[in-house]
Amino acid sequence: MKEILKEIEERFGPIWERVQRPKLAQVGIEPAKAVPLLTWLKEHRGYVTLVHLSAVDWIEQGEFQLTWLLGNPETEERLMICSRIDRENPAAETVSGLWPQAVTYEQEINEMFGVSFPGSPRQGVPFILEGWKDIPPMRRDFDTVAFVEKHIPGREGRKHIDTRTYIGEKFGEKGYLHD
Amino acid sequence: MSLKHVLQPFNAWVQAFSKPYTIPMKDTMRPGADRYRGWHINDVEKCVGCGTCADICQNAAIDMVPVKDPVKGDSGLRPKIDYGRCCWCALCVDVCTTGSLGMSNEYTWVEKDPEKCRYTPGVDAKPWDGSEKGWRQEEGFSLIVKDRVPMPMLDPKERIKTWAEVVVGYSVEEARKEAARCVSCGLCVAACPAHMHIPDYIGAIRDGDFEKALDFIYDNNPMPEMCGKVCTRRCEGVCSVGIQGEPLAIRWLKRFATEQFEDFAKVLHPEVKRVGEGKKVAVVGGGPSGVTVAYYLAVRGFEVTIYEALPQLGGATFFGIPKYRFPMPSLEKQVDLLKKAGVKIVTDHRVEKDEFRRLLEENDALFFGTGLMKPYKLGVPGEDLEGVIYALDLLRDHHVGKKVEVGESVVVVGGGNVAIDASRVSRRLGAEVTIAYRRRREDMPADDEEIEDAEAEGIELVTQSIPLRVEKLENGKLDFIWGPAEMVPPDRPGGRPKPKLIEGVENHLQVDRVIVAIGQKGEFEWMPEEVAEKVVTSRGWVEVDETGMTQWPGIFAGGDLVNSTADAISAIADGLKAVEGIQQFTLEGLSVSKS
Amino acid sequence: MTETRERSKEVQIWFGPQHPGITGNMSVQTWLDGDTLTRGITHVGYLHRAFEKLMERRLYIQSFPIVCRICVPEPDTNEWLLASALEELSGLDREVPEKARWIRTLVLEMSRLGAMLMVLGGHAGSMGLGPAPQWMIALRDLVLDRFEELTGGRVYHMYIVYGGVRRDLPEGFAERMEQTLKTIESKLPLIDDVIFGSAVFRKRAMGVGVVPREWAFEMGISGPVIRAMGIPKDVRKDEPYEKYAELDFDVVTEEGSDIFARAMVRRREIQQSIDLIRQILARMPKEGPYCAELPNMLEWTIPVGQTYVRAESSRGEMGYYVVTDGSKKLRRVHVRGPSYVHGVSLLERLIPGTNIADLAPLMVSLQVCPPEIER
Repeated sequence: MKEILKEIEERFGPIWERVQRPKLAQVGIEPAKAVPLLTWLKEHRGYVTLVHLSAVDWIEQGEFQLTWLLGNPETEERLMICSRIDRENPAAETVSGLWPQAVTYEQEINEMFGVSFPGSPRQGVPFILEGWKDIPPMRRDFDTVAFVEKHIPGREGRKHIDTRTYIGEKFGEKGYLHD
Repeated sequence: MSLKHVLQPFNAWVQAFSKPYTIPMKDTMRPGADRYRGWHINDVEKCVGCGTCADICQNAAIDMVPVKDPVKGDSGLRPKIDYGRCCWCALCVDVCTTGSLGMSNEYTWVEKDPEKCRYTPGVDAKPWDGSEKGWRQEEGFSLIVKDRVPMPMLDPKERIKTWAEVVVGYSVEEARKEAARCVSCGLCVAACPAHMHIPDYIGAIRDGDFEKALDFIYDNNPMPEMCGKVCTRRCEGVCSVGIQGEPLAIRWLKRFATEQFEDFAKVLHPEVKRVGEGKKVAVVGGGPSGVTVAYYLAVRGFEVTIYEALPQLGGATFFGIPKYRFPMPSLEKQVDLLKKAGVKIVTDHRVEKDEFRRLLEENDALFFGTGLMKPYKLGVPGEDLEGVIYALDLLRDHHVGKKVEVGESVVVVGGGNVAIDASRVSRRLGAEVTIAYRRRREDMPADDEEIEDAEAEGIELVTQSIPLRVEKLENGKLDFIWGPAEMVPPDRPGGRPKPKLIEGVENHLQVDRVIVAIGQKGEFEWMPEEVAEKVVTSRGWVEVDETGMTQWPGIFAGGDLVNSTADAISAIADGLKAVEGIQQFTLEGLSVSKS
Repeated sequence: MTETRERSKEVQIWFGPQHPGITGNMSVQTWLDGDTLTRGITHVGYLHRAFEKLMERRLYIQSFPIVCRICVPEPDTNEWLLASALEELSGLDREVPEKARWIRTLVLEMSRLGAMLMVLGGHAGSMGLGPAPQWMIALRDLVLDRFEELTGGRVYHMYIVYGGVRRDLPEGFAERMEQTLKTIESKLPLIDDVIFGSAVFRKRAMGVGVVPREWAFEMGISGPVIRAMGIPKDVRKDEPYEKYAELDFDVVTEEGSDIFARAMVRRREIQQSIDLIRQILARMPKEGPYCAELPNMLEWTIPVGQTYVRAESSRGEMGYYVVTDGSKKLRRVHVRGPSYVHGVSLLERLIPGTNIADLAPLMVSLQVCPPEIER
């Protein structure tokens, strides 16, 4: 996998890379070069399969990571192409012209993360959710507990006591340096 | 389309004559497999209510509910399971620290009332209670780490040649690894007399935030480096991880955290209100209880002076505990913080009657924690012979820098920590050492690890031996004569088995010194009679109320004089109690009365 | 529910979500001209349980009982994938004992066997051939009996855990497994008679639902669907995991790429699984630990990293994309099921021109599993 990584670096400029397993490598690249790289890999290097497209929310850095996983059926090697986009008004180039099944992935990421892929056919069409009004639910700042408490009332009469806190209270655990 | 393919499916008819592999309805109550994960069972006697089952339950199906009063080593809580949420993954069983929780192999349970499908196993009786089969913990699979990270120690052969610290201490990696074993149940907090924030500082060590750990530690213990080295660690005795494995090395972790800092004052930033400005408190006796009172009152703005008879603060932890366990720099570091907090320290100064009266006049409150300084006597003929000495005297003389000699061989009488300390010090002074103890090894009050360390250093242990008398021999040595004992049942139920002398047998042991270490008591000669009359009981103890105050308003006390456990951490707990008591007392505007 | 569209004389029919012919809880919105489908859109979301989100909010060990629930017929692949990904990222993979590897391979193969028995029954059932599915479900239950005694659970096994497996093989397991395999084998000729020997099945399965070969790689088709095209793709061979590299087996392929070929691949893979289970049991180490020494699972943290692991489920390449951020919880897990492609893009492309009666058999032959699509 070293050769292909080297070639990518030569052709597409600075990247970060890592060989995770003998048949799996990771490449990080700036968003503008991601789709040209994917196209080149598909057209010229035998990475014809789009195994999946996924997003990761790095809320602390204010970024979304998009991960295209390509497969080469000849060598059974997998390349993970990662690219970070701004979390504000996130958008990325579509690959639905290269792979028909990308439409579904882009539709789902659009729904679950709020990342838009202009030109992809099913953007804005609900895929899994119906009548969803909240923020896109796979974002890290979507509070699942608050959502559940609001929509699904818990069972009545349940009360859990945390052992650690309970013992502190019962045995008069106190601090003397802080009020 | 061939005729064959039209006819072939009719072969299915042969099935009509074969034995069905479905089970007839009447047999549906077939039992589950031997390790089927069915309804829960819990041995509530074994369960200590640590709550790890509730912590690991990803469905939040488990509530810890009180079924009895909490005691040390048992929170009194038991898991109550909501079968509307349970997914039968049995992680609760696998993580259980005691192995009390299990699952029966019962498949079915029909109930009209859904509320009944929420029960406390072992408390609410169910038909499958006592089920032998079902999912249980098994050897070879554990979700918690049972083995402790071993503490590096000096080799026994090397260490008897030096006064260097025997315990080397954890590295950062070792400490974080050990800390990561904690399940944060908090049972230790109940057992610690000072109720230190144990899971919190262990958690901070695990996360690598040692400043935060020290902050948690100092929050209610002003001598943590001492406790980190020599504490009796009641906490470890109840550690839930220790029930099926080795308890967390709570003491060593505390030690680790304190060892990370040269100057505690740079790390600690007390945030309490300085309510005590203008109030004066005198502390007589600079042991752990006195130090505790002094430090926490000083950070509250009180003007505190400690009076200590010996050249250094620390009390028994200074003069009693050998330096290979608790070196001087460790002690000095903690005393240094006290000074930086503004405490005035007067050492080499024994408070006598008149001065005590004057201190009462001049201060808003007075605390004394003068400890047990008077050894018990053996009570056998020959005790007054030259060469029969007391362990406390030996240790004190040694630690204040006097030259002590123990000769070539000694026998130490007793089985407590003082006996072990005296033995190991004698060993380092070059003597062959025998410990003579009345009861069995398992009855020895000394710390197990201490006994093991002593044995590793070549100290011989003779148990069930009762001293009969000591005689002077012509060669100048002493003849220690003892008789063997058998153990007889205790007088009262729940008591310890007692040693009873087997008459007619005498054993002889030639030694240079007989060191007596069978306990010590309080000494009140320095105290004005009118005070002693009110505060000291007929049995030589001091009684205090829940604020640490004696019968004399304004006089507070703590430490070995007051509590029955006589260890440093209990003294610190007494001190904490008195801090609150003194604060209340002085801020209510009352002054020390002479009544 | 029907709706006449005047413009094109097309009739719109919702196939599912409440329909016995649909695979699981999903629906296909179809448009018909006569009884020929002209267009179809897959709709999922009826079974969305937010597994991926739930796992981001739980400790690693707490994610372990969740993943198996992604797939009812074949939970173990999910368990293995999560375990394997986290072992790789934490370095625990170096400590997984030999015996655990063998037991894991056994469990994975047993789950493939169980799932294929079920889906082969489904092939017949979707064409109205009654007895076969009943027998197949009963045979699968015999596999579940073995699962019950091995893992403590019948359907959700929660057995393959980080570092190994949760319990050792019970006493006498190999013998009872052999008995089960014999029973299954003894019924297979009969199944051949009623399914592959049946004129109804042959007529409706042959030449129907043909997936063009050129779609294979571009769309990421895998499992029996790609092997029915004559392409020998199988993760167990392509990137062998656990003990598959040490086992003796050939990739099953069929020609034709139609429903019949896919059913035949499954039929032959049932036999293959039976053979593999025998091989595994014969080579199973007698002694040794079945799980590595685990760290305290309540406080386990895994360094920053990301990986993609894959396994051959009965449906095809199942993959987990896992991202860790150094904390006690997953940053992200993406479950890549073969149905994501098979059930949406591929199905929608195959629908035009298909007879409406063939839609259910087509979906079964693609082995569409909605929880894999919506997770």
